[in-house]
Amino acid sequence: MMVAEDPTSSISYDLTAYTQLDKEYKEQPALYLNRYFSQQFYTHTVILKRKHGEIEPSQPTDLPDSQTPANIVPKEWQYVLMSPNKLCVIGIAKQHPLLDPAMREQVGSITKVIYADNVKNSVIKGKGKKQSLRLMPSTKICTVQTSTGKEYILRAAVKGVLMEWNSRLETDPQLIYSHPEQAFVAIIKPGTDDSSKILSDCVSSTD
Amino acid sequence: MADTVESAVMAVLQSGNSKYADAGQIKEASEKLYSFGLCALCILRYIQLPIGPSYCVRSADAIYKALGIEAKQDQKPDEESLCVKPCPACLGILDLTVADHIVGQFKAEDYDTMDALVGIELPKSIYIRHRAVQIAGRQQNIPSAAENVPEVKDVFRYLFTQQLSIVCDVKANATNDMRIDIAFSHPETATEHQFLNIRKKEPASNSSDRKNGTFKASADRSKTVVLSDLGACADDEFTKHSTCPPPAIETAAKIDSLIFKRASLFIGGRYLKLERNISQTPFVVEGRRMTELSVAEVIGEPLERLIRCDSYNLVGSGREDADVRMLGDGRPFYIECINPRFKAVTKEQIQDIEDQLTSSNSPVQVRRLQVIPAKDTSIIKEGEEHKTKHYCALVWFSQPLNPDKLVEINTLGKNGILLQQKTPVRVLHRRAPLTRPKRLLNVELSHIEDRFYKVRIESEAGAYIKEFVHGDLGRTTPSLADLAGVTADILELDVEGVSLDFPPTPKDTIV
Repeated sequence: MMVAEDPTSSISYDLTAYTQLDKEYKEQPALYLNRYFSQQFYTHTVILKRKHGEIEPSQPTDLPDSQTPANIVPKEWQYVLMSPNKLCVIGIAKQHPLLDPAMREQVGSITKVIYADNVKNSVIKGKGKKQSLRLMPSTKICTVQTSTGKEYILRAAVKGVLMEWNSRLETDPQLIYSHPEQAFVAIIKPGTDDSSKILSDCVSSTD
Repeated sequence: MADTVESAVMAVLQSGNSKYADAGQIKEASEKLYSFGLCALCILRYIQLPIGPSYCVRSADAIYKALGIEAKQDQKPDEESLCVKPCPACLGILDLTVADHIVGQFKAEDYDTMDALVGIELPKSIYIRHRAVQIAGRQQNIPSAAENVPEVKDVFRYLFTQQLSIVCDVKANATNDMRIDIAFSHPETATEHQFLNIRKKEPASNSSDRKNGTFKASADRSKTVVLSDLGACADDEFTKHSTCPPPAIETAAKIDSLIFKRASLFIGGRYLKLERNISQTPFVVEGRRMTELSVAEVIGEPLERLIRCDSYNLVGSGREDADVRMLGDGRPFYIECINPRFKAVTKEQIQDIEDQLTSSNSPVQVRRLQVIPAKDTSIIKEGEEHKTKHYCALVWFSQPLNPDKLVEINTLGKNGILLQQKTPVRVLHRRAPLTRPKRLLNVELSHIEDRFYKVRIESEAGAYIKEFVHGDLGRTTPSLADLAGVTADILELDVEGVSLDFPPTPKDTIV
């Protein structure tokens, strides 16, 4: 009943199912993360706008297309990748000034990432219960410093409990440039299973 | 029938063990007991007739005749029962229709067992009322009633086991295989024993008094406590709270619970999952099933039909994701069949189920399916942690690899790679956040075409293969992506082998 099989042959895969995937991902490999996460965006200034009912000075609606950079305050976009189990991985989005090539001269290059003390000292043991650090979307997680002396604050983006902070960023901040997908800032477990509540401070696109 | 009872009575008188010297004294005692309203069997009990065939006589008349009782016409019971109103001593439990009914229920289940362990629980008022009869017996000069008499529980057990043997051919004994648990309750007299608690102060409560978050009501003090309280209670104290003989009742005791429980039957084997999107056990999220099929149901349904069990549980030696196939010789598992009615399944009947799944090209198939002894089930869980697994996967790289790079990876892979795996994000919500070192004993990467590669891996149990390929955002190191220097993703995964010898290959099949 059991026939000795050639160890390298037996299984063959039908590649035609993946032609489309191959086409899309070979241009932008990072897209493969869409198979594991759904992506949304967060920026701190958006929240202020909603809460105080003010219109942000950086968003005039009637300017012509050619706007001078001086009039616009670029938003500090973070990504929020949500796994099917609702855990959220947060990090610096490509649209953030730190990663925008057009802004490199002005912003400088990243020199240091410093995590907040309460984040570094937090106890992460079980599945995120009593002892873990509670976070609000605006809670500061870490600060990124650049060669021009600028500092950017990265925040939790979702309400929940801290599951992990990325210590590799402190030891090797260049990871943000060299391996952006490995340079996530933190992993957070939301307090609810309701996606719309979890992502209430996020938007689906940075446009 | 009357002569059965008569000869039993004679035998007792002749043995010299009785409190009575002759039939006349028996008649006198019996008539007094009859006037208490006791049923025929309770009368037999209180004249100290030893438990025997006399108790199975189904006619009250025969018993009265044998004892010499002149039953009053208007109080004569009909054919159906041995008393008009339920007996105040046994609460109607010794009525033979009760035992008949339970035996009938048991027969309907059609268990293929030869033995059963019978457990009986009686209402606490039985003990109160027994004491009342005893006191009345002392007061009214019924010598035998005040002594040790056959208890209601023992008589019922006798009646029940006789019927069980006759109707179902089942012996009542101390078996581990089959339990029949009968519990009676009698709401009408449920509080009769409570005066014993009021007499003295409440004993200090202990933690076992708190069940399921609520404190046990004092009505639920255990039988042993009631008996010891009764022992400590003097006759004159007792008569202040309870009439002697015990008062009449309107309703008979009812069966509060009747539980038939058989020891589980275990069926072991190895399962193959030949298609994707099948979970190991039914997977329901927010009321919706995530996969149409589950391994447990495909194998469990035919077994459930054959064995007639209440339910089944599948336990596998490890588990693969729903989108991962299980090939090769399959994964060891056992199914526990809960409360089976039919345990004497033959090898052929089991083989039949295995063959059915194979010949119908079912996406879930089994090998080596067989009944296994309960003790062998521990092999499954032990194997899960210690045995290695073989995998094959379809991998995509963002760029085809340099041939040198391919050789480099395979050279490294031949010697084994030690991974440091943080708990993958996709299970981090239910597993503790740890970094687990896992060894890949062999990694072999081969090119299919363009950016598509096949990787075959032999790994220590518990390694997350998907995370090894793409790196899980840098949280599994080294990853195949790290080794290749490009982005990698895993498109399909198959388990080719789970190396655990289970179940033992049947010796009479050709391997």
